[in-house]
Amino acid sequence: MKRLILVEIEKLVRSSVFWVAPIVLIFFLGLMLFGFEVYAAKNGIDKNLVKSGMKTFSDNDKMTGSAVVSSFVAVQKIGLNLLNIVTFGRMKAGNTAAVVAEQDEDIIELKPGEDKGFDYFGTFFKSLFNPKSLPRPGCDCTECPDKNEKPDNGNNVLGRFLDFISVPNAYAVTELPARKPPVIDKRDSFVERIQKRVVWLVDTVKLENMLIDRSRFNGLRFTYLSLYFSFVFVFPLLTVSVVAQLFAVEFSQGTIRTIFLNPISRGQYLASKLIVVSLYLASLMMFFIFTTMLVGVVFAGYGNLILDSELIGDIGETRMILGDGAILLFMLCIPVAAISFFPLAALAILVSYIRPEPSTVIGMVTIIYFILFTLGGLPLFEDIRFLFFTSYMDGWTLLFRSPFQTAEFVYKFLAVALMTLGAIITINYLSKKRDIYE
Amino acid sequence: MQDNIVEVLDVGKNIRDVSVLENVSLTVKQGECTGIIGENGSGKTTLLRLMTGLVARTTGKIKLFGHDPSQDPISALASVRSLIGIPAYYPHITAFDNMRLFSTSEGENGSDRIMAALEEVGLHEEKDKKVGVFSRGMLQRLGIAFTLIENPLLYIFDEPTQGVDEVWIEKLKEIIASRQKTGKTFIITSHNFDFISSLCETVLILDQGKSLYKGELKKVAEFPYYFLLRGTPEQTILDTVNNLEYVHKILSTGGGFELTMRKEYSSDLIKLLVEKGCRIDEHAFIRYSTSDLVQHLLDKSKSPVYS
Repeated sequence: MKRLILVEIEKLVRSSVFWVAPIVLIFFLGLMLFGFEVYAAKNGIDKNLVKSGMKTFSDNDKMTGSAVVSSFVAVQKIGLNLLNIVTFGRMKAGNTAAVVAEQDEDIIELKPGEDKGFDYFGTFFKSLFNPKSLPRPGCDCTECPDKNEKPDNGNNVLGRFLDFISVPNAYAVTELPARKPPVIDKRDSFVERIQKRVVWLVDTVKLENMLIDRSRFNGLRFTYLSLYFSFVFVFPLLTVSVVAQLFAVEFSQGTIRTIFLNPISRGQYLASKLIVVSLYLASLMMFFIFTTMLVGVVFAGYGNLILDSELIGDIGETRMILGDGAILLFMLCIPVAAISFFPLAALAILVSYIRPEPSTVIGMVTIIYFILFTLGGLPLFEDIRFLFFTSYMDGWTLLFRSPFQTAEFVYKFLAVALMTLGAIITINYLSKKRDIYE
Repeated sequence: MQDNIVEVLDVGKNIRDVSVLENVSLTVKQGECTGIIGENGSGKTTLLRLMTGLVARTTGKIKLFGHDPSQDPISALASVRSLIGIPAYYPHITAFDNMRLFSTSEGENGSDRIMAALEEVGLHEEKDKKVGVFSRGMLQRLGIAFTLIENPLLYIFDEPTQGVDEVWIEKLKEIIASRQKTGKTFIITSHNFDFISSLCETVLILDQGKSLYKGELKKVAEFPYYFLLRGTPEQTILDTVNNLEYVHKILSTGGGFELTMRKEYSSDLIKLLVEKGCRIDEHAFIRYSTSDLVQHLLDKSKSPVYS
């Protein structure tokens, strides 16, 4: 089985779709970026500032995610500082928007183009070669009293790295208020106490290290929008193309015959293909999400993710997810979205067994997908849309809802699992019954 | 070790209610070489597809090494390698990599075995060429090489001589003969009766999905040959051969006769015709084609040679 999977991976890597899919995604990303920048410029985003910065978990009950998000952010502190380095390194007041940070009635404003960030990468690598060159972060800031002072974490690589990831970079906030410890009520449950402490810890870290909100139009908003549209339009096509490449081509080229002349069971073959399709889809999503975040942050800056009606439709109130939390949620999207594409992939496999021409598979399944997707959105089909697999493909958006809709999430996940299982059982049956001639 | 490594019992296959194979049985012992012959559409390839589990049978039983290939292909095909139909490989991948991807060969010497197989079929210099540029004959040789990699106990070849030249046919005979000496078993279908008769001890002759003959090949080799004869005067020749018992059939062709008779009577016939004053311009034997064999078997009531 292991060998079969490795062989399938090699076959996929050697096929055209393996390289074409990321190129299509990059092309799509370019289009999205272009649209995003044009939209921002056209709507005067630089001037229409959203004064919502510096709101934190602890003092904003509208915040998304509560326990879920705060746990993610806590995990982030341990494992994802590297990602911070990449993103915070671009934390400049920026290209398209000014920055407004709000804290305790004080508003701190950075003008467009003003740089209060800290070039982590450049400085860090410079310091590796010449320790004395390590400046105090924000040393070009006139308010900084210790700009020639070296951090005292030792002069080795690890020490410099610790300096590097722990120094504050949000010099727009020059005087941070003392953070009060969390108020623990005796009636609080154990979980609530832990949650309060984690939230307090996270907020403290945030305030000291990163909290400058950008306008709504930042790299994370760009990421969300790109994901939304790609999951509706691009990934379905790519999923079907990958399946057509992996399954239908074997039939149309006749190589399926050569495969089954070996001592391989049809179930093993199907399982190995399914595993490879799943891995590739997840890899594509990972690639796309990371690329989109990087491109978004580079071109549109970092900040918090404001979830307004423009992004997630009828949600009642505008909410904000802290930048780091949003990054983690985007990463959680990878498995969730990959799983939600399983029924579509299974449908494509099913069609591959019935009509094994790649173009037919791509054409038929894409048409079915868009018909169901469109009909599912019409009020006329409200009562039967639960039958459409397309109704369960947006499970990833639930990750961004507050409060987290556990029941809906589980329902969608189970529906996807059941539909996929049903399709796989049918495919396995068809596969065993199917005669292989040429 | 099992005696019968292949057991096919009353196997039938229907495609959309049309019978393409009906009650065919075959047993093959270890070390045997069995030929399957028949005209186009007689069911030769279908039988091999059934035996390898590519196609599900409608009736009957099939066992390879005691396992049903459609139920348990892993056990049934573990020591079987087959070439069925036109070999199909990934056209954008090199010959060597195709072999590597399709073979189940693992371990350190997997590459060595692939190279040895390619060398045996004379494709070692083409190993880095993409299969898409291969000719039909090269593809056929690559298909043979694929079966050689694992050194299985049973080889199943469907029309292995198709699309290849005479030199390669001789080479293939050598490859098969060398493996036969080491106790390997072969099942081969071919239109080339000479090829089958030079390798196989037993034969199964199929016609329209039914088994016409099953048994030793040497008996089939005793079938009469075509004897082409051209000479004058034609009427004297016709009168003479009409009275001969060993001439089974006489067919007048433009400018000569096509006689069905056994080879050993040819010198007697020529001598007799010369004594009767005939001038013989041309005479030659032609071995039966597969089609002729089938026709002969169908017509065997008229044949005193094979009854």
